[in-house]
Amino acid sequence: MNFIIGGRVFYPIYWSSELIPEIGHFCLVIALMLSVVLAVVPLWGTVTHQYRLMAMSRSLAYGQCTFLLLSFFCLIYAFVQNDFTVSYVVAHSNSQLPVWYRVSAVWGGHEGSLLLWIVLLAGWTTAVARFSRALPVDAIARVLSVMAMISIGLLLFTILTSNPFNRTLPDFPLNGRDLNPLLQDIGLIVHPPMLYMGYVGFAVAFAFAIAGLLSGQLDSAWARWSRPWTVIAWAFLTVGIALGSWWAYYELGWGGWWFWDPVENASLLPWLAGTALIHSLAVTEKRAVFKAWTVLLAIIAFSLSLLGTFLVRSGVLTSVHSFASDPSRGMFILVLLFVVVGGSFLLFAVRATALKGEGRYELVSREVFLMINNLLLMLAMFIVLLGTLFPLVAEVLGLGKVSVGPPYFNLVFVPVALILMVFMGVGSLVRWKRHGVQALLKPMWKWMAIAIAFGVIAPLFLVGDYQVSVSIALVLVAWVVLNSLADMVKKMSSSRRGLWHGYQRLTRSYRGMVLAHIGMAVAVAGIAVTSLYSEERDVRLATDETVSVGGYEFKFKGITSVAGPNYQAQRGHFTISRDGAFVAELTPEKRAYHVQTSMMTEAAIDGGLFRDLYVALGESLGDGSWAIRIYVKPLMRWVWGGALLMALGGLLAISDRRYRLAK
Amino acid sequence: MSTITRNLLFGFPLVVFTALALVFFFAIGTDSSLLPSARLGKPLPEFSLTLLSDEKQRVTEIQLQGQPALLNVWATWCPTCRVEHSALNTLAESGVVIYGLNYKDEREAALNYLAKLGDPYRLTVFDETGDLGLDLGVYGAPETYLLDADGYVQYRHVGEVNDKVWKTILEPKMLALVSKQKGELVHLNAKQEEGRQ
Amino acid sequence: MSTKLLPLIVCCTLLLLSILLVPASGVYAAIEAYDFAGDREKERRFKSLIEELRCPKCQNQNIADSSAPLAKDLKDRVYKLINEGMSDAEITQYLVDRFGDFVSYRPPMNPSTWFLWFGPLCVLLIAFSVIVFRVTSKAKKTANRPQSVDTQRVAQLLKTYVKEAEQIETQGDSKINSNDIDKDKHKVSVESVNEEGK
Repeated sequence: MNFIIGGRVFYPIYWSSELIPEIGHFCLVIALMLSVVLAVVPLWGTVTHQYRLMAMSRSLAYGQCTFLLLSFFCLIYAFVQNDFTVSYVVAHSNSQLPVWYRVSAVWGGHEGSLLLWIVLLAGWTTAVARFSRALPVDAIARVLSVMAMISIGLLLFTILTSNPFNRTLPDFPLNGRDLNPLLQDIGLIVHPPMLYMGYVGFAVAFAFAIAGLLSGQLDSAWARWSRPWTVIAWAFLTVGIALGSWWAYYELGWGGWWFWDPVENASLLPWLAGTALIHSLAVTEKRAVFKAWTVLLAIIAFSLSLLGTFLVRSGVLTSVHSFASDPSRGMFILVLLFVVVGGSFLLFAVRATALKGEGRYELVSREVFLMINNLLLMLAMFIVLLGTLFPLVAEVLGLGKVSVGPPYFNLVFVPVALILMVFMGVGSLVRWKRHGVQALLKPMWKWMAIAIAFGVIAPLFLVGDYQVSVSIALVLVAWVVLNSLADMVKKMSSSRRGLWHGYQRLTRSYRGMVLAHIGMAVAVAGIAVTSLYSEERDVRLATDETVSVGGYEFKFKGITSVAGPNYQAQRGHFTISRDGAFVAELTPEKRAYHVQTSMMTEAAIDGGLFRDLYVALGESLGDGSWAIRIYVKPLMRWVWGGALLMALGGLLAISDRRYRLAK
Repeated sequence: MSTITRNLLFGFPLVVFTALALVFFFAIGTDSSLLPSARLGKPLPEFSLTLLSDEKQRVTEIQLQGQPALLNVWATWCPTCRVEHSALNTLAESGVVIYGLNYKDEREAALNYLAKLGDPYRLTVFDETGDLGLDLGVYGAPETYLLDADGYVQYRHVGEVNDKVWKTILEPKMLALVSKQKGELVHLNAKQEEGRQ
Repeated sequence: MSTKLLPLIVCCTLLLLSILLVPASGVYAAIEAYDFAGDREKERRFKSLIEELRCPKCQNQNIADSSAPLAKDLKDRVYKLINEGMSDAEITQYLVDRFGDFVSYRPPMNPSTWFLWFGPLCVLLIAFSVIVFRVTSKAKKTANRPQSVDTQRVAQLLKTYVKEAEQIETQGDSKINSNDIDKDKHKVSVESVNEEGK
């Protein structure tokens, strides 16, 4: 039922699915308004002691979250329906794209991923509102208000500079420009949401810290409330980083899993600060000391999340990952960063001076060991920050263009990480307040001896030259694992009703800690061994030739031509054997995609607990021979497996009865 | 701890962050992918290559000396080169000396390109393998080097040369070089004129 | 909370399994075979060199990974220079002379990069001395107090303190954390009472 007036078509205003993007846009604006109310009214209630105003915070949080979810679903709908009147859909989708990639393409670009960020922030806000029933109403009002303030900033950023619902009308294209083929992958469906869950989750710890500074109430209870939130955010971030690394390993085809790229560093920075924060919160909860430091860490961890967002989206750093940059967006988010971070540090400078620790402790005590842990973690964070930003600072100060890459980080970061392992082995065994040096070290000598023996001997069983640095790393790995397990067994055997009963009596937070520490050790073992014992060869092979790499024989059996659904591939056939025994058959491919006319090399990986075999097909060199990349990477999966153990440890710890949030 | 040191300590994060924010403020909007040439203030690398127009005639860096000039790195596979070509033609017509460096290209295609779009270059060095380009530090065509009369690299512009780039960046630098080179001569002329009066 | 977390834990375990088991796919990379005539030492040097050199053309990739034509040219040149017998440092310098410090991922050591190289060490030393200073000065304060103790008063205080501690313990919260509570709580209490008694 249309009206045509003067040659133009007018639609009557009735429900139409064509209006969905406008509805999404409208929901964003409503969410912004609710955020403003949430940021102001409950906080005003805490100042004027009006219970009704404070009590509004929960409903406002739910409302804000609802409208953001609605908005997000509108964008998903636009993608699923191939609505090419929306510029963001045009830029990142195509009608040929499978529907699940169309959904994940929602966060494949700047605007949508920003919206995801905000939706997750609203999700965390709602979770805090829902699961913190035990909190006094004024505390929850402050926390939710602070989170709403962050939400306001990001919503303004989205609506004013990066609206994903902008239309291409009146002349819209018939099809989209498609999602970057590298992003059409399961890893990229899961990686960003996980990572953002972690980034944004630190907003909760941040909000608790700011709320504490505002009210002046920063005690053990405060630490206990914010601890589980911090740990769960940290666990998500850990998984997110591991997933990113895994994706880079198999999708980029360079065989590498960490490149010290600015964007990777941007995710590592809040992780390091968050790890320090988890430990510092433990001290503040148990011993009511380090309060100011813990608050500072909470601010820093979230500030680094925001900094990462700024670095990726402002174009100030060159990276493989960065979004198309736009100076006006950069300026907006810099102002946002300045207001949020600068304001928090100012508040900290004014209010935190009044904080005083209550407990006493001596030089050899859990407190001091955790202090050292924090010192080393923050030093590691400082190194990554320095290495990432130095080229930028040098350029602005006119000191010339330099690149800071893997050689720098390996030289400076790795020793700090190893020293951290030394203290990690001991730290969880030291008692609070004070511990006699003799009493502490006496049971450790034998573990130290075993660890050294293990570290010295183990590299002999690896294929390749003896690497002293790997030996050192393995000593520390064994040191951490032995001490953690020995302490757990000791605690378990204190029960008279057997070890199993003893195990059940251990708190979940303790079990979680042991698991996380062992996960760290597993990851370090994987990193050390795979970095220095990987055999990586780029070789020229003709049919039926065999090359021996890392103790495996790779036989090239030739190339066949294969037709895929939308590509033509050349498939290499490899038979891998070890000492004459068959190990695996790998078929890497080289594909020429018809539509995109782009070449993709499809590596074949035989993953295993102890080694990865990796074959990729390069160029045909004429005369029937091919350039072939062959990697044998021992303990590759341990890197990500260790990270997952850490995350599981974190989740186990917060399932402790102590943190039952909704009690 | 005294109150002052305590206040200083607690204000420290704010100070550090503010400094960092200032750096970001100045970094926004600058193109961080642009590299200054490592050859600035140094002579052109030595080379002996053929002329694009004549594969039998060799050319060396000496032939690019004598007056301030532009050395334009171009190729037929480079779309931006095509964009800036008319601007180069205009410059050449107005008397600017431009040398060409045909970078990693095919002779036939390059000659056709010049025949079709015009040839602004006083001479074009044919660098088929890209070896001279590598020695010069070329990382992406088009690049335009400003040479002084002795063949020293004084400036590098990466990307399109257009009227604006010429007016705001290259021309002032070039004029400075020209006046420097002619400085003595001009000075001499002025004296002679004074003497006549 | 614990039952609510179960799905999460299951998800993570599944992820763990998927990472361990799923063979991966979909790769885009430059693969070239450089022949070093069986000289494995040269091949190793070549590989580590091209991984430390940054491709000037690309956003942020080393020349080993980059598929840009310029990266190929640079690899060819490094290959040639290695075979001519130049050392790693000479080759890096050779490329820095042509493309600037930017081309090497290993920043140079000069006055403008001193902070980059030595900054972390300075931060470590400062922070470490602050920690030692604070903890020991705290300990000193305690140690310098007069040692004479009113034993009767201590005994009295100790009694009330232990009683209080027991009350707190029976109130339940500490039962939950039984493992985290100091086994020598009473001993510690004596110490704190000692301090208060002074």
